[in-house]
Amino acid sequence: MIKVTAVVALGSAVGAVCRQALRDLGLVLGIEATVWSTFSANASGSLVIGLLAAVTLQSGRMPLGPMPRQFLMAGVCGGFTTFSIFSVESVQLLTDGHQVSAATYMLATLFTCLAACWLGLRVGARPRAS
Amino acid sequence: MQLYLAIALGGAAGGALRTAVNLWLGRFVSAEIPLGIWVVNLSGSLTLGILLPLIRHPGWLMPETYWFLVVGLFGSYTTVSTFALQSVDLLQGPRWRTGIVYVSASIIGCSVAAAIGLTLGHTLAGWSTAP
Repeated sequence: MIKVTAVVALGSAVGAVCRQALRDLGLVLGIEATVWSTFSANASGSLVIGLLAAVTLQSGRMPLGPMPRQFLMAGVCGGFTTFSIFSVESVQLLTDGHQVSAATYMLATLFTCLAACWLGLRVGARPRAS
Repeated sequence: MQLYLAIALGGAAGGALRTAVNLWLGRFVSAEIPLGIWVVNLSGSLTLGILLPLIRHPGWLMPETYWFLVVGLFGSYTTVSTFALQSVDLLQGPRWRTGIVYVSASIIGCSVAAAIGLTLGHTLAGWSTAP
């Protein structure tokens, strides 16, 4: 229990730093709105966790043990994506009077992240071309 | 650079906290019910809602704590990727009803939690300026 907590903590540190790096990259490209960086982190993190979940299974193309899986999935992907910042941003859009943007942001995040994860699982489970 | 260090430290703390809460709550329900991550996302949204107005309000918390607490700790404590993986797993299997409940309870619950948190936070921040 302590080992898995430490492994996830380490991965989450990497994930959180990558999330900020993505936001800084957006700022360099002139994207000011934080919802875009949160949205891209959540969508890409969901795609990657799906891919990893399928690919690193014992029967997958790149089998990994439980600890490396925890590091990459619960750690890096878990730390990279964020539900709290997403929900606070949605509520702030709503209370600032942007009802349509708030609804769009919430529905887009929900459907894109679920679809991205599903796609990752499908692509990751595809047998190796020989 | 210091900013990234604060985010890394907060991120590690958030990930550790998420694992601890998730494992602890996992003892009380069967493995098919994602109660742990639901509670993590709900409590994280509530707490971040309370915290944000306080951080932005002068005199409450140092602005530097934003990087450690908001981007690092709460950003990393809550998660969309694990939520998405659990949801897709449930929705594709025989327990798709649990999946629908999980997805709705997460999106609605976390928004309500964030709204309550923001209201509380603004109230607390307002008190500090009251004469």
